[in-house]
Amino acid sequence: MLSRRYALWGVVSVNLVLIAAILFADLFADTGTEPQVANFIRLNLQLPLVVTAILVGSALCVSAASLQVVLNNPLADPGIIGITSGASLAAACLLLLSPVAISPYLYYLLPLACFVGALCSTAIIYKFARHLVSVRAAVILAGVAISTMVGAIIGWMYLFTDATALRNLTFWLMGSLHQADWWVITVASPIIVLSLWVQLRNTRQLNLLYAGEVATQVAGIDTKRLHRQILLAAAMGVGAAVSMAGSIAFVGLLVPHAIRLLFGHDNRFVLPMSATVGAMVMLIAASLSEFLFVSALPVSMLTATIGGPVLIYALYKGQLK
Amino acid sequence: MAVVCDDVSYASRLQRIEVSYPRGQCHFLLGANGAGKSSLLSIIGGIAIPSSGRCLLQGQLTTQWSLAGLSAWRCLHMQSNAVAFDITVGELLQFYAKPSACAVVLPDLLANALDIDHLLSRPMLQLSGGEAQRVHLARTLLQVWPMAENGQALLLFDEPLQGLDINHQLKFCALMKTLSERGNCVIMSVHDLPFTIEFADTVTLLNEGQLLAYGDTHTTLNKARLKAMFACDFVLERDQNKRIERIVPVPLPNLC
Repeated sequence: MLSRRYALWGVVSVNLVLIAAILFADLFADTGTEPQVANFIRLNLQLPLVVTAILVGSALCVSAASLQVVLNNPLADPGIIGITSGASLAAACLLLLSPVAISPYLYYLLPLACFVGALCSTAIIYKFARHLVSVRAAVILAGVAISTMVGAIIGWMYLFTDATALRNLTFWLMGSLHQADWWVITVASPIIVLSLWVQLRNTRQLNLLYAGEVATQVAGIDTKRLHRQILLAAAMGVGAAVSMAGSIAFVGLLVPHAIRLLFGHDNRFVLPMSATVGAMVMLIAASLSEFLFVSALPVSMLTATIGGPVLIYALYKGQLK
Repeated sequence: MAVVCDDVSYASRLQRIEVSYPRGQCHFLLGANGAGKSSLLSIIGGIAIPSSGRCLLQGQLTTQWSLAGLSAWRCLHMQSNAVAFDITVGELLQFYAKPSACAVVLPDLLANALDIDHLLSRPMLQLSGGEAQRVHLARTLLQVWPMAENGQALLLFDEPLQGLDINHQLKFCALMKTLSERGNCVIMSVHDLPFTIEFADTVTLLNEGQLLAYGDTHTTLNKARLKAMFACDFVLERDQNKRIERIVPVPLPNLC
C-alpha cells in the first residue's frame, strides 16, 4: 500500500500548482491585456472557476464515496443511481417553468431546487436499496430508470417552452465549471461545506458499515441515524454541485474506487483523499479548458469521454465487483 | 445473573420465554430451523425489542442500555455477513478492534483458535465460506476483546460452527469454554449434538417459538424432547453418572 500521507500532500500540492497556474498564467505569457482587465478577469472569471472546481469535485467524490458504503454497493455514484438526474429535473422545472417575476431570484432558488430534487431521488434509491438488499444490481437499475424517466420528462418540457429558456437549459445540463459566478458560489458553498463536514465526521462509523448493518449496530452505532445523516448530506452536496456545474458523469464512481484500490478501504483516509483528488480532477478539467482556449468546455463531456472508457475497462477487468 | 428473560414474546416468533443465564458458563440454544433461536439472540443482544415481557442485562433493561454502552461488553454474531467491497481481512478486523491502531494485532488466544493470521492480507471476497466465517467470528470477538479477556463480556453467537471444518469447530468450542471459564457469559445456537454434550453447561430447547426446556445439559436432554423438536428418533446412551455419552439420530425410512 502506498504511503497515504505523502499521497495526500502530493495531491494537495498538485492542486495548489493548478490553482496558481489558472490564476496567474497571464503574468508569464504576454497576452497584451491591460493589468486592470487582467485583474478583473482574475477576480470575476478565474477565481470563481477555481472555487467551483474545488467545491464541485470534492462534493461529488466524497458523496459518492460515502453513498457507496451506505448503500453497500461499490457501483453507487450520484450520476449512475439517479441523484444527479433528480437534481437536474428540479433545476429544469425551475429554469423552464418559473414565471418571469421570480427570475431575479433564480440564483438563490437553483441550489435549493437541486437539493430538493436530489433528496427525492436519494429517498427513492434508498428505499430500493433497503427493499432489495440482496439484489445489488437493483439499485443501479432503479437509477437507470430514474435517469431515463427524467430524460423523458425534460424531453416533454422541450416541446412546450420557448427557445431562450431552452438554450439556457441545454447549456446548463451539459455541465460547465464556467457558469457559476459569485452569487451561485455564495449560496452553494455553505451547503457543500456542511455536507462535507457531516460526511467527514462519520468516517469511523462508515468503516464499521463494511461488515453490514447489523454488525455496525452491534458495535454501538445507531445505523438508522447514520444512514439518514449521510444520505441527507450526500443529497445536499450533490444537489449543490449540480446547481453550480450541471451534472458531471463518472467522477464519483472512479475517484473513490481508484483510491480504495491503491490505499485500502479506511474511510478516515478514503473520504479526505476523495475530496482532494476530486478537486484535482476538476481543476485539471478547468485548466484544460482555460489553456486550450475552449472557453466553456462542458466538463461533463470531458469526464464522460475519459471516464466512460476507463469504467468499461475496469468492468471488463473485473475490478468493479 | 448476566441475562434474564422475563416472559419475553417477540411478534409471532417467540412466546413467553422465561430463562436466565449466569456468567461463567456456556449456554447452547437448540431447536429446529425457525424455532426462534436467532430472534432470542437478537433480543438478548439488545438489537430487537421484545413485543411483550422484558429482557435484563446486568439487571438493567435492554431498552435502557445505549447501543454504545452495550457494544463495550456485548458482542453478537449473526448468520448473514455479506461483504460487498474488496476489503482485506486485516482492514475489516482493524475497523472493529478497540484501540484503532494502524494494523490489527490479533490476541494470541484468538489467533490460535481461529487460525486467521495467514489470511490477514487476503481480500474478503476471495475467502472460502468457512474462512470468512472464522474472520467474522474474530471480528465479533475483537469488538469486546479487552472485556472478554478479563471475563466481563456477554458473547452471543448465532450458529458459529456453520461452515467450519471439524478442527476449527473443536477449536472454537474450546475457545468458548476457556472464555466462559474466565467469567464471560457465552450463549450460542448450534445444530451439533455431540458438541453440545461435550461443551455446553446448559441447554435451552426451543420448539416453534416456545421454551420446551431449559437447564443442565445432561439432565435436560432426553429422547422425548429431542423427538419433539426435530421429529425424529435418537439413540441416547448414558454412563453410570447419568451423563450422556453418545447421541445420534436414527435414520428415517425412505421418504418416497
